[in-house]
Amino acid sequence: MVEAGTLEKGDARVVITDADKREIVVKSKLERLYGDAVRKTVEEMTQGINANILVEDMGALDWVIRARLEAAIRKFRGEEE
Amino acid sequence: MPINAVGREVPSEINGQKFKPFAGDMKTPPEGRRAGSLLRMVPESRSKVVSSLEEVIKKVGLEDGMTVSFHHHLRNGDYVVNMVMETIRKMGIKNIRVFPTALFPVHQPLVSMLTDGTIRRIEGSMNGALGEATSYGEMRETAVLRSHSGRVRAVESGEVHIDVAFIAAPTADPYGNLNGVDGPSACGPLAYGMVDAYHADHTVAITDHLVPYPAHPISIFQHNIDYVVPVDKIGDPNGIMSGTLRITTSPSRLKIARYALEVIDKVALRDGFSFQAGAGGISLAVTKFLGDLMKKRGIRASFINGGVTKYVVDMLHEGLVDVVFDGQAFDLDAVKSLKEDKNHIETPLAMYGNPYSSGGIVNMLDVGVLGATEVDIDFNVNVNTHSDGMLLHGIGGHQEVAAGSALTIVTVPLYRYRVPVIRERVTTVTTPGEVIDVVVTEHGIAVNPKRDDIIEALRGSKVPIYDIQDLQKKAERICGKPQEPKTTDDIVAAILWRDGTVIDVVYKVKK
Repeated sequence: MVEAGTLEKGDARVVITDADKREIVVKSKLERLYGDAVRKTVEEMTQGINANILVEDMGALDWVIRARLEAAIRKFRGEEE
Repeated sequence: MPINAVGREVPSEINGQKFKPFAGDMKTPPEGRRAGSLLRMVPESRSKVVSSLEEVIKKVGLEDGMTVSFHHHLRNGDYVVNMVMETIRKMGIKNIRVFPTALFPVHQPLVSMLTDGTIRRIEGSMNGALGEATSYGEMRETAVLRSHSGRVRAVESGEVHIDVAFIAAPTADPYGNLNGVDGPSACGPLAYGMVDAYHADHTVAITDHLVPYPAHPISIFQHNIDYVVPVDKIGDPNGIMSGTLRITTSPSRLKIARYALEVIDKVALRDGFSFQAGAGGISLAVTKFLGDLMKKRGIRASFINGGVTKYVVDMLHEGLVDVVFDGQAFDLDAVKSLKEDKNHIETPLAMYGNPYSSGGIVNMLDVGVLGATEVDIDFNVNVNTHSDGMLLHGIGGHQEVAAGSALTIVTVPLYRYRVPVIRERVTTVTTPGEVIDVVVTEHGIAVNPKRDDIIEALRGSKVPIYDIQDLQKKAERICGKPQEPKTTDDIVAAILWRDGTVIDVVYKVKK
């Protein structure tokens, strides 16, 4: 399991755990306003990663979510090597 | 349904009562005479003390379908609304219209009374759980929201008739003289409760500090109060007072305050000017910076209208302002000053900004600094709903301060977390763009195009000036376009302009 980010307001926490196929769970404080947008970003950034991907969004801007995802993905790949 | 002057479709009937669509500020003249309360016979006894709420509710003859009112000076520390409503519920009285000035998260116990038949509707500000329940359609009838002055107008015009006013009184004597500056639950002025005391058919003071006759000072006088009920505690001081209010430490919020200060300096700052103070983080910073600048320049203000805090009291004590008008005290410094300082004056809410009167304090204001949840490219402001459509806040004095002040500044961040604050269209119109002059964000300011005089006065200033459309586009670039709120066609609340016309409605939100 790897993680990146925090549960501070305006941030996002990403947790990636080993699995046979990709499964994405997004929990967003702004579900009603940006739920679809967050899911689209996660979907796009995690192509080809077979793992459980949990994103807890505390109202982060898109580039914050992207940065947290990238950090988590790098850690995840580092563990695999 | 007719379309009103801010382009919103609004009903002409709410809860069986006729309302006109908003036509613009000061565009709908008043009709009729001031409404009155019941005449009553002087009591036989020298004491109006009644030992329990149940007994007093029987004495005033509260029945199914009647209207009860409350003031919100005890804010989130208030015990009175819950204890009165719980007594009403236990006595089996149904279909009550609750008419508070404002309700807070502490009043969550009323949520279950929306569905058990005790309450048919609430007409007043709802902050927190009650607003949420209303948004989900749990209130049987339609909520009606008014500004502070709009509520006064509604009572004076007879639009709302109060059967029984329950008035939380931090100090009372047995014959019904009341004040808010003494006692364990001191809150400062009793300004919000005054119109209720004058216009309700029956008036009940509830106190935890009964003093010998005559109480002094007196905010609400004995001839308006029918009964006095002593209880253990009317509130929790930690919720009544906001504690030590702190100026924002956020660099972007401080930047907003500095830009606002620059606008005030270039447009309105002169000896004898006046301004409206508030208790929000940015507003406190503006007040503090303004005081510093006035000291440096040797400028004195004629009056500050509060929302009184320590920062305002400091300015009074330093001689930077001649008079403080007080409708609401936010901290103990404000309460103490109201009690001790002769030029710190408690003002009845009817004097604040009622458009159907001979003129309120807001009409004498040079500068008003206000906040907002959203602002749109027509300068319309929303303070009631969140961008997902949820009704979560009251109007406060926003409408009348905006309408009355010669210079109305709205201070907002361009976006909060990921939610754009400057938008194409506000979710709900609380205050129309016609009374908003300058919008100040951390990225720069936008001036309402109809105020060329302000644009002229700001020539050569360091503050970046944009078209509001550019600020909106910038916010959308940073945040991305949010999804539309998921609402139904059911109207759960009406937002009235201060003159009683309908400026917007709030729709039921899908769970």
